[in-house]
Amino acid sequence: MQDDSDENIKISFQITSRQDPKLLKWLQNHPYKSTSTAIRILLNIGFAAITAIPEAQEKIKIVKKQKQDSNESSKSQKKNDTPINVTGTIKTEQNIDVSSKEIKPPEEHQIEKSINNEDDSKSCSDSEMDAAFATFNTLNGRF
Amino acid sequence: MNSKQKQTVVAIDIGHSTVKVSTSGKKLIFPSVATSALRISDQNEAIVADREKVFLNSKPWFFGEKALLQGGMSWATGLSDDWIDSQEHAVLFLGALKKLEQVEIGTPNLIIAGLPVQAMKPEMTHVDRLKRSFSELCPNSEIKVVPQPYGAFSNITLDVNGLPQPDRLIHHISWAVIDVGFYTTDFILINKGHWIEMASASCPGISMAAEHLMQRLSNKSIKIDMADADAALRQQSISYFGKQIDIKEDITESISIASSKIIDTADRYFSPHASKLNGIYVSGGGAASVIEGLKSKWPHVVIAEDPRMAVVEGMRRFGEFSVLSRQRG
Repeated sequence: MQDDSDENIKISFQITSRQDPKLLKWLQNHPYKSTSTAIRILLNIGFAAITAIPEAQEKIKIVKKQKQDSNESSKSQKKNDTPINVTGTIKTEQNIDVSSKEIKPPEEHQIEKSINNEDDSKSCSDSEMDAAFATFNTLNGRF
Repeated sequence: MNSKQKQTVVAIDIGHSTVKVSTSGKKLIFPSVATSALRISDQNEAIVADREKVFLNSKPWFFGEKALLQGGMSWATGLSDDWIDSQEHAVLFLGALKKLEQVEIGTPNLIIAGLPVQAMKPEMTHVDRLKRSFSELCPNSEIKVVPQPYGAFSNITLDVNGLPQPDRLIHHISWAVIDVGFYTTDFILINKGHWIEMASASCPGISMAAEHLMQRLSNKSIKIDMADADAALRQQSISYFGKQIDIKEDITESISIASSKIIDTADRYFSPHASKLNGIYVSGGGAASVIEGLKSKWPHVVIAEDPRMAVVEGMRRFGEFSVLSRQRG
């Protein structure tokens, strides 16, 4: 795990099945097609990990202080919005690289992960939703 | 059920191997075993046993693990469509309700039950019989019965709250489902909200492999029952008169025979449609046995995240949808 003293704290980490099989399994089941949630979770994991390191805690404090000073002078930014960039590599048999948002595992995996997960970011119009309810109700009328 | 108060929806799938239960945030599973309750003299043991004891017509029964342990028996019923009329089936239903009480789920407003596709045909009486039986046992709940693979399909198109998933709206998607259960394997195809009858059917389930395994082992003078064979298919070995016996070869052969039959049936029903489908979803406790064979045939075959619980979870989502739909008016 590494970090630098720049305002952006960069965290690199590896998760292997030996170190954390449960987390790895969760990540492998995640929808690579839509990585926003995965990246959010990775951020949380990375932040939790880095805050456990005393030197990192010190650097986070410095960055936060700088940020607060800056906020006080500009009065325009919110507190505690320190950006954190996370890069990570999940070591698996296939060595799936999640260091960028363009994650492209094999296509069949994409379908599988997509169908077994829900993407909260998707939405549709009210009329489309009404049509779904109507179609489902017609089908359900059989039972 | 028109009130906007939170309704308790429970799905109960009483399979020949296990009973699966799903309600919001909780999933339960226990063996499909029921046996007359014996008096247990040890006070502490009796208290523990009471957790898996129900009364049917004033007669005490053990169910689940306790029945397996105290009864020293395997599944109480044979593999037949008529087992829904049996006392054991009723006991397992009461057992499911008791398990729910233990996790502080009260009387459900709506119970969703499942049946194989073949038992849902209009000329069959299974739906009415099952509804009548459950209504007598739980008179304050509404009972709905759906084909088991329809539960799996609901997993695709409905989210955990029972709402249509915006990127998988039912009128835009075409999916086939193969639900590999113990007693039956069920096939359905739903094309943009239309049930395709010609591609919906049932064939024997993974019990075929268990039966074949029993036969092979019998030829080697190893006598096991159906429950042992089912367990052996998962564990790859059996404990027999104090010895751990490796039966991997017998298991591989037995599974191969069963999966070939299931894959051939899937091919017969789905091949004319396969290229136009969004995907083919495989659920059920036997899914792992057939998935590789199916994937080699069709590239868009996907296995459910938790195949064994996929049907009951989807049935619950269907129930949640039904409640939401009424509330929308």
